[in-house]
Amino acid sequence: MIAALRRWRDEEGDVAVLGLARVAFGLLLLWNAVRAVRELTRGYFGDVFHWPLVPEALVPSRAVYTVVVAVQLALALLVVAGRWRAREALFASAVLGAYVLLCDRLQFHHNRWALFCQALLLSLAPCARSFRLGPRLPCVGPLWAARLVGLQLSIIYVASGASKLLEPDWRSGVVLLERFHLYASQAIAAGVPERLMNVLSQPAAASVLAKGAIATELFLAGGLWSARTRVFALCWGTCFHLIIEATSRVEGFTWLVLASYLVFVPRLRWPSGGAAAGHHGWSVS
Amino acid sequence: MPHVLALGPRARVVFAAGWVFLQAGLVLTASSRPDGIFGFRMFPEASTLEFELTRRVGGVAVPAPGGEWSARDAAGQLRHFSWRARVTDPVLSSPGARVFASYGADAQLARLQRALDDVALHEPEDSETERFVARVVVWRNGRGPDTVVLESAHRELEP
Repeated sequence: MIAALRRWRDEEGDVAVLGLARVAFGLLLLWNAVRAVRELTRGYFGDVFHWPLVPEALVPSRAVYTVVVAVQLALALLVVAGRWRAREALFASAVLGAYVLLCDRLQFHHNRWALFCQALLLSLAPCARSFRLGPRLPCVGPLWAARLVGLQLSIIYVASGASKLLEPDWRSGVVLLERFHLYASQAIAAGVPERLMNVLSQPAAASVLAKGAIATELFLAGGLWSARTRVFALCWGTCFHLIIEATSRVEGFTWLVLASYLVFVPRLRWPSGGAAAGHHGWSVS
Repeated sequence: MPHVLALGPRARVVFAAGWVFLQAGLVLTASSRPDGIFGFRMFPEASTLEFELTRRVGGVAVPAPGGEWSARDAAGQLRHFSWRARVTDPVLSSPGARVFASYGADAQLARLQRALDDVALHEPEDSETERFVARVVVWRNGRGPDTVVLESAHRELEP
């Protein structure tokens, strides 16, 4: 046990793929900041009903919040570029994002909280050595923080799967069935075949799907960690999240999970970008 | 030179243990928060709700259809007020419309209670309304309807 913990703490390996995860997280943070800009143009949340978790005195004024959003935009660009202070920008983005959530729990969504958690954890990993503007850097480094990104994903799967398992309406398929009834027309409009929606809207089908969803989440929590099941888990999880993306509004959660899956493929090699690209353009290690 | 975010061996263990402890605590205590925030309970319900807003004026319930009402200010001038001017959340800003209860009915009922208190506090020019009342009809996962009545805090009105 102690030996395993030491190995987890000290192990080093190829971290090239973490650069790609950083770019993906940066794009999601950028999208999140752009959404905040759009919402700010419609009105500042502090001027209307909001529900802070922090004392009201810590909720920023409109002017300060405008600066916060502008900083979030700039930080997200630094994260994506990877050239200068990308990890610090990732860390600051996570802290600022969490702060805004604490200022108004009406803005809380699990996908946003998950993004800020994952961004903070990835900032502790050497994720700015590849997929960056500028010279290529050595891509061997400590893996402990990348493993924490994976562990956080497992925590999300366990929390989500277990809460459904413990809820009779979820286990029996009632929740899914009602969701199908409520959102069938939207799903059909989004391209899901009507015949498929008719089948899914049957109680028996919803019951099977509910049990499948719970089993999938609980399986993914552990299956991603085993060398024997990892490839299947990655493929199954990708399909699972793409189906959710097609049928529900989850903001950037699908892409966050798929980007987080990258930490489970550290041995993945990426083609060299060549000397010219390495020194002047995107360095792809 | 080590990176500012490159933790040493001992700090890694302390951080990781603290992180897992924090996340486990947030997940396990999610039930104690009406909206279950930080608990990663995805798609917890498929409930819907609809509420009507009324005002308590002189002890009598007065409807505020669509969240709109008129009331006199301290100078006796008749003024128009709108629930939506203060409450812009997509779920809570639609009195009279049946809406999906994101994060579950209990989450939205807790938010609506806060919204009632907030509006009661932030409409100082309404010198008539003693209390805001929401009569909420809830369909939990398609079952129901059940009716819940929420009231704002009592407003102290100037004589």
